[in-house]
Amino acid sequence: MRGPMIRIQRLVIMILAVSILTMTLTGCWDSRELEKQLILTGLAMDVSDKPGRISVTAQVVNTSQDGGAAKSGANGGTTGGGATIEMKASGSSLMDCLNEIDRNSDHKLLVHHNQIRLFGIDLAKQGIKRPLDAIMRDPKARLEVPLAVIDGRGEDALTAKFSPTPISAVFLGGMLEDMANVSRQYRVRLIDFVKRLQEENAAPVIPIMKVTGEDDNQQIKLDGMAVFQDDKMIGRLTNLETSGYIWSFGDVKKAPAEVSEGSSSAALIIQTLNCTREIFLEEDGSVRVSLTINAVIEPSEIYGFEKMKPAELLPHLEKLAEQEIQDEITGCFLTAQKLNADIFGFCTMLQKKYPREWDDLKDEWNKVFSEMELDIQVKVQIPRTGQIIQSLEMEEKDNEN
Amino acid sequence: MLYGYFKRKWSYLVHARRVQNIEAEKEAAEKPTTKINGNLDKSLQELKALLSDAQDLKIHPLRFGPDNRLSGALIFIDGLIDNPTLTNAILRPLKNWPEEALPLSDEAGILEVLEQEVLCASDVKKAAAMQELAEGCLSGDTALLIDGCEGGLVVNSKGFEKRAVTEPQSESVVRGPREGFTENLRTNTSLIRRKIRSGQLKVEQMTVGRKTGTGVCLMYLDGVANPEVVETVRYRIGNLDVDAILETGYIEEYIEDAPFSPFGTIGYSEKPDVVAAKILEGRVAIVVDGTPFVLTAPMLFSESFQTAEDYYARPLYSSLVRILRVLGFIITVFAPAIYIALLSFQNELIPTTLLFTVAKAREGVPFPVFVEAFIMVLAFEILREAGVRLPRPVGQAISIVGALIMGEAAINAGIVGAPMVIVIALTAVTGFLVPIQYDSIAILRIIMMIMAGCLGFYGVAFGFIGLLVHLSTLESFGAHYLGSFDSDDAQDSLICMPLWFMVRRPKEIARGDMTRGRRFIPPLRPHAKEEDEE
Repeated sequence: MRGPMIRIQRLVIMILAVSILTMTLTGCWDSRELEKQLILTGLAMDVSDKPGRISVTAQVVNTSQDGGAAKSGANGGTTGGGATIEMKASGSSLMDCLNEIDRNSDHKLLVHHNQIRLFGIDLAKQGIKRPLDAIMRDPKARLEVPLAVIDGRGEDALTAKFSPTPISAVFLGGMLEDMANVSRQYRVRLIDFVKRLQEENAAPVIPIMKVTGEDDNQQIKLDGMAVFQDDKMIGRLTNLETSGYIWSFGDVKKAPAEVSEGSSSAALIIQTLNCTREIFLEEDGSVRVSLTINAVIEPSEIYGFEKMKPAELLPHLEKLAEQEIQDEITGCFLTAQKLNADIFGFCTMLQKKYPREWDDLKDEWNKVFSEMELDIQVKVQIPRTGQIIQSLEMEEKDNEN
Repeated sequence: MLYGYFKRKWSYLVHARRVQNIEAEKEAAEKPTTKINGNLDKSLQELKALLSDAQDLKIHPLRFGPDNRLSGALIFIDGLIDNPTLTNAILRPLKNWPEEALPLSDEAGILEVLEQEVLCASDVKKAAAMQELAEGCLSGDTALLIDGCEGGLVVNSKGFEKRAVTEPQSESVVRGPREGFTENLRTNTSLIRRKIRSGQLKVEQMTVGRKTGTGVCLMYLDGVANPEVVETVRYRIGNLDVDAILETGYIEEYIEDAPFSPFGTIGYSEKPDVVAAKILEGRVAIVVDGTPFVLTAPMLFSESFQTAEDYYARPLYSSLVRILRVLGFIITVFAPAIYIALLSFQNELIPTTLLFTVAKAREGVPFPVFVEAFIMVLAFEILREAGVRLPRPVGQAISIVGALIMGEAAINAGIVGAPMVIVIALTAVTGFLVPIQYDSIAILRIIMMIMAGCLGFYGVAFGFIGLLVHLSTLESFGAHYLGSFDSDDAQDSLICMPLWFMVRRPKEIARGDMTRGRRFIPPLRPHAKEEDEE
């Protein structure tokens, strides 16, 4: 009789304890019903008209029944009302603006699904530390969201309509993800940017995108990279220089490239490109970096080169490609030296390899970098020619002979 | 307050049990017996009184024996006996008593002669008390009383309407035997016996129920079944003191280990081959008169995911289907809960594009997700319950009206979102993958939904852990409910190993003779030995 009583007593106490603990830790009051949320897909930050303030544009999904969001997946139609709503606010800080957007709506802002964070080029030049700080502090904001600088105002990229994806932020995020398949360097996530920012003397880069075209036929393209010193944009790389920048990191897959010689040209696909970097501190105090690049390339289109025999063509193309890659990296390196921005992360390599010598070098890093030598060795292989062996024109020539 | 409630409840239960025991003992002690005295008329009066003067009690007075000098009466209940048996086995021999062949000694000797030499029935018992005669009549035997004899005979003449052996409704198979148990106890035991032709198969007969006096049979393989389990089953059934046993469900409820658990701890089947397989694994079968279901104990959790066809189909496919069933169980219990948790707590876990679609479908739905899910689950259970007891054509109409028309209309009217209907439909369909656990699934699903509605994924995780803890504490007649997931018995749990691999009986269940056969990898080659020698 006593035993069971005590067991029941203990059971009741346990149930009470567990339920009190669980209920106070979390509970119904923490619920966020989906229909009460504004799903934030993109965030654009620009300079405001008034000095010292920023203007923020938040793109949220239009979930109302006549909106196009749900249909977007299936047919991309944006009938009756847009797929998205752009909400604007300006204030002294990012949080200020987001709070205002939140306040002016009967829904709550759901920031987890943010696809992209855009900075207007003017804001990038002024510095982006403050908004980044706010984002980093927010536990709900994801660090994996990619960043991009818009040549123009950031809000223009959000309000633009890109078919077939009606939500421009999703479009931009997807585009950067596609490019990340080629090389991870194309997609700079917040966490990558901040990591680079924290390295000594390193200069982070963010891809620049440019909106072109008119109302219904707007397009966006990658237009080089913005080079940052600290948190301010100090210059930009052109598209060719950007390619050089990408090659210098290696780990590239399926990247297009083009070589030309006179009127002949060939479009190539870099199947894989790997780069081994090594840094040397010479005895005279100068620093030399050697990049050894191994690439496997497949020709996708060959035009011209009529005078060459098929057996000579491939080695020739290999040579041309090697030269092209070398030129692009050199061009990028020269620009970086001009800007005095170590976008390649050589400083960190040096620091890791020569920690003792680094103490002496770090005060004159700028000088070291501007005098740094780059030693590039490129080895290109073209193992296959695609589905056909010879160009159509060459075939005719062979028959004549 | 709760404490006080439990205290009162508990002491009531304990008291009730004690009172019951005392009463039962009293009744057992005072069970009256009336001796049969030689007076036929008086005995008949007493017998009539014992059977409440029932109108279907037939008394057939007759004179028989040499010179018809014996007078007696046949007493039976109309409808319970087989008339040809009565005529051929009892009446005809009595009437055709050859005159000189059997000299009659004294009155007591008559019964002896009748039992051993005259009557042609298969089972004749002598009875000394009126109560024995009454019981015999009630179970379909014919009682024979003779004037001047201090005793009577109970002659087996059972024969009543019974259903033929047909294909079971609840467990249909594509491949495998189609016979199912019937409502007749003897038929059922014979069906099992026909599967296991072994002298080791033990059959123990019991009678349970104060008023119904239902026959209950324990069947198990001696030397294979765990003696402790047999003993426990026998003890629990033997000590049942209840009015009625009308179905195996009664017995199950009285003897199961965890009466408050949503999970059943005793298996059941309608198919002799299934029961035979379970007996061969060392389980005890409990056959109850009047129902085509046979209980098997102990039951392990993995049995819910097994079907007879698993062993008749090829093992690769069986394993695939079995994994699907386990997945189905998990989906049907957790799908609505996870949907609720995703939509009202952890929105960030939904893939972005899916989120857009769901958000649009939810826009304008008047209820929170939890309420929406609850309405749908309830509606489904109502439809199922409405359809299940109706004749098949009407049931179909119900499901069409309920599922198609109401579902479609509810979405169009914006009362529920389309994704919710998909989730509930998935839940409903996967629920039928594990029919044995259907009742526990329905309960657990609602518990999980409440957990998710209050605490989100946190609650679902809590529920899941709680479920695992509960399952692992469950026992069925000494066997661990999750025992078959042990490495020794895993051959027949989540995956179904080939039969030639499963040579050992499950350790959790069987004791003694553990080996089922020789382990080998097919095919056996008849000339393999000679080839080796060459």
